[in-house]
Amino acid sequence: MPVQPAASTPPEPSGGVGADLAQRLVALLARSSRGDEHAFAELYDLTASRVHGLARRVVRDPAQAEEVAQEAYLEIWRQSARFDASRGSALAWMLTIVHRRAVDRVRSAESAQARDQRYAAVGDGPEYDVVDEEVTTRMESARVRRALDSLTEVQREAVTLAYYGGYTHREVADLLDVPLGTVKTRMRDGLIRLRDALGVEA
Amino acid sequence: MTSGTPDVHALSGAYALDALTPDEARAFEQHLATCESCRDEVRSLREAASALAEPVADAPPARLRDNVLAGISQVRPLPPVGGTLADDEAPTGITTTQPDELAARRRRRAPAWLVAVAAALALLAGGAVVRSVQLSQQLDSVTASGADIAQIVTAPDATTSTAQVSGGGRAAVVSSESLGRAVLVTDGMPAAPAGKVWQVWYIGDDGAPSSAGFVPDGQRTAVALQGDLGTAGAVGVTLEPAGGSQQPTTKPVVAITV
Repeated sequence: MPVQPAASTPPEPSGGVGADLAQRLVALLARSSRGDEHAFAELYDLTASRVHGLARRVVRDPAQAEEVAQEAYLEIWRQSARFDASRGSALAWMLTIVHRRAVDRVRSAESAQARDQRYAAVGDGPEYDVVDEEVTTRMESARVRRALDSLTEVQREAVTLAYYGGYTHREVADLLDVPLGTVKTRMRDGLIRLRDALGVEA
Repeated sequence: MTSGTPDVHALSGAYALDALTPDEARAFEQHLATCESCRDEVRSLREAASALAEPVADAPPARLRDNVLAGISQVRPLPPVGGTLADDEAPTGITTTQPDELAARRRRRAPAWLVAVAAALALLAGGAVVRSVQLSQQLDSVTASGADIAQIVTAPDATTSTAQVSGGGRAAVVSSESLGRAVLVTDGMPAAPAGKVWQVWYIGDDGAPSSAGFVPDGQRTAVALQGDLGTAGAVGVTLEPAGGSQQPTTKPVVAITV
């Protein structure tokens, strides 16, 4: 029996995820944990653009990004019973799984040369400004970009090199030629400012 | 903060961005287990970091949906952490020679995955019967990862490779390419000397090692290896100082091609 795509609910941001979507995802994860493949199909439809886009942004290679997204969904399915709503939103839990797999992929797979090329690409400019034609959440994207703009330049640089570039804090320190302690502070202060600008509950 | 006492709390941002190395992340997670304020901070910073996926959202090709849904139909979701093993399938074909009540309870509770690990151990022991009681006792040390072990060794594409351990004992790796995970099973490996540990490594096709965890203490052990099997062509074990090393510092006592 074919699994029908879910009705297209407008996606919401993870920072201030609409209560409806957040609760919907929690319910779908719970059903998935009991082996409900239809629930997981709906979960996929509500999150696929974010999951794929994040994998694509970090991994860059389209084929590898698809692999990472597929592996991440399989892990989300397997781990669905382990999701604990008291420890954060379902979307953040899912995207953490995706992001970890994506950075694992870029850190393990690349040669020094590919790494240099990755940095060259990251160094082209503030890539979060690049608006993809496929972006389905323009307003929310704009909101996140505005929140990013509230960071200082050096905070934004450290946060995006780590999150989008997949670099470790040591690598970011090397790339920016600043002490490790400074990078740690910029990452933490930058995320705190992002959190507050997005209105995430602390 | 002084240079001699690095402020571990300050790592919350890097951790929430997945910008720590696996060793650093594990160390920070140990700190998180005892620091509620850091747990709360990490939770809120993770929500903020996840919002960064919004501006880069990008609809995937339709085939990804087909592949994902086909993939999940092959794999059962894991039971909740702390869930009772009694709900799992009862074992078949394994007998116990210890008819005491505790042993009987353990036998009743032995889940299907123990049977699969038992099969790997039996392979190591040259086909000798493995008693579920022994197995339960041996595997008490890895209860927390038991569900992972179950998932890996019962995967449809799980394959087993075995090798002799230099210095005594045997080891087997049960790996699942579809899950990207592997389990190391040992039998009769000598205990690591005081202040040392047996560290496990994934060895890439290019020979580069990455730490995959440690061999638990015990005569017969099973451990779900950390990290992604990925392109690893082999699993190796070396003797390292307690706490482990970033890179192997001694010659492997065993290397198993997977």
